[in-house]
Amino acid sequence: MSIASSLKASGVADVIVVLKNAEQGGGAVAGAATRGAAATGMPAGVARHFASSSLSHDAALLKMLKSSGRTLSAQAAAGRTSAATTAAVASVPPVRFYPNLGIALGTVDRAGLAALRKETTVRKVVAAPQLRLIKPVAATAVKATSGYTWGIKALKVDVLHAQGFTGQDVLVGHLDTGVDASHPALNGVVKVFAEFDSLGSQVKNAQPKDSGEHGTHTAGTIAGQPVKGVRFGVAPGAKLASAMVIEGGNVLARILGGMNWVVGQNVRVLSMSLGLIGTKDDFLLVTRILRARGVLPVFAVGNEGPGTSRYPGNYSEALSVGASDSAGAVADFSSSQQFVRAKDPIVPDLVGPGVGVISCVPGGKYMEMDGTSMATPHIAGLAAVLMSARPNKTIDQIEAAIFKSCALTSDMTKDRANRGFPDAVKALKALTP
Amino acid sequence: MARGSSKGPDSPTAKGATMHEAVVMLRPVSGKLAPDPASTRRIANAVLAEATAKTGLSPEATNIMDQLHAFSLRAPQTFLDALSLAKQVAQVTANEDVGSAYIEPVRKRSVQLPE
Repeated sequence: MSIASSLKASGVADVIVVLKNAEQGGGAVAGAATRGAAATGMPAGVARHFASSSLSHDAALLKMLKSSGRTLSAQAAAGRTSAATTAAVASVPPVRFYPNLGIALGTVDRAGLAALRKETTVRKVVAAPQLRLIKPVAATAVKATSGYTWGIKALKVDVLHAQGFTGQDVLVGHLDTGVDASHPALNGVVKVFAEFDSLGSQVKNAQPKDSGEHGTHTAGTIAGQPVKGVRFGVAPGAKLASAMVIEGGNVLARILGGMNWVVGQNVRVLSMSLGLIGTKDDFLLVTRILRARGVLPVFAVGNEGPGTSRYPGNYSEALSVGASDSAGAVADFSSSQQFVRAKDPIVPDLVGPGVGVISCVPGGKYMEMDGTSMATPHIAGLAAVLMSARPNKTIDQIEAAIFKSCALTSDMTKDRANRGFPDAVKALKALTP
Repeated sequence: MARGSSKGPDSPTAKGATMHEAVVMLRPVSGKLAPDPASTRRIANAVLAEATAKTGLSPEATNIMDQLHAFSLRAPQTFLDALSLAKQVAQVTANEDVGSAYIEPVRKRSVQLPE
């Protein structure tokens, strides 16, 4: 955020003041940062223009550390009560001076900023970068065991694999952050790849790549090959038409460009672990067109919990997917919402394995993730397996069979899981004349 | 109705006019939500030509999504307004930054495969 916008928003701004003698070290004293208005080596004329504020960088950091259950150090915020933290915030010195760098970091109001800019010892005043605590990823690695993952076993897809139905001859559309097609688990899986610009036009000569790790993980869940005996691909016989569509910017035309492309590739099912919070009809006609073109749209419902959902997953025309865990409970984060409409008023349509989902990530690695993004490719994979078993069935028949196979566990309620969790064996039976 | 932010009337030549990106969904043809791709291309080009004739402006870029009976374009607001009035057009939606479509996983842990 710029200084001007920060001042406009809160009346204060965190700034870095570069002193004119910065090249010479800025001050006489070497060493670490010193704090306080009397910080050694900092011109007194500069120090007096900073202001104490509960909105300052240091105060915000203290608050964040407290709310995250983390501690600073023995003499800082460790174990403080709310009042103690407030006191700590109040006592935060208004400025830190870095003598070796010849810069000062602190908080200013409008008057302080104007005065600082007039100081003869100040070269320039710039906005301080905003720091955020990075959400920690558990350091301990999960040890995978050989065999099918819990999700595939819970869906009973392993039974269909044993009967020879693995998604063979089915092309699955996969719109996500891209895919690392060179991953050993995706060897030969990605049949075609595409990337789209902000108008939804295909970027020429795009090579398979993942702008993050999300797309490679979801691709692995749909059609990943067994590696070292670990089987996490629901439809390992299927191939993917994969496209990078959500790396940022204007997403509407980019996602539509991806949808247009996968339809042209003759996919039978589209897995989209993406969506926008709320309900707008931007994708409604297109989702209807997907169905009219024989593509089953399998979309994630979102990770924002009860009373929320994302579109296009919350359209009645989509097969929307929520997340459940290995104990048969709906995940707390899984979105669900009731709409005033005659058809399909509750989303998601069903829940799938979305907690502790092991799959591949770029760089030949593997990761366990939680989210409706992880449940969605399970259901897309299930649809592909059923399509390989009953290639003449329409997408409406495949979807109806999946719905018919669903059941609520004792830990699920209709408002959170709707039809419940699918059963591949029952779904196949429903498709058998 | 076009939902791109309006910047006022554009100049007839469109030189210096602010460009907006939009997605245009076309109306079904003979009850078909998704007519064949060739029909979509023909209708899209006709609609674009009609808007050009009305406004004297041209889009800076277009992308016909022939499988979805839609097209996207980058054009002045006046041009988008003209498009939105065409009888073949069902919906014009601004292609703007509407937030992230990325659904971030709630938790991630690295995995070690068995040796």
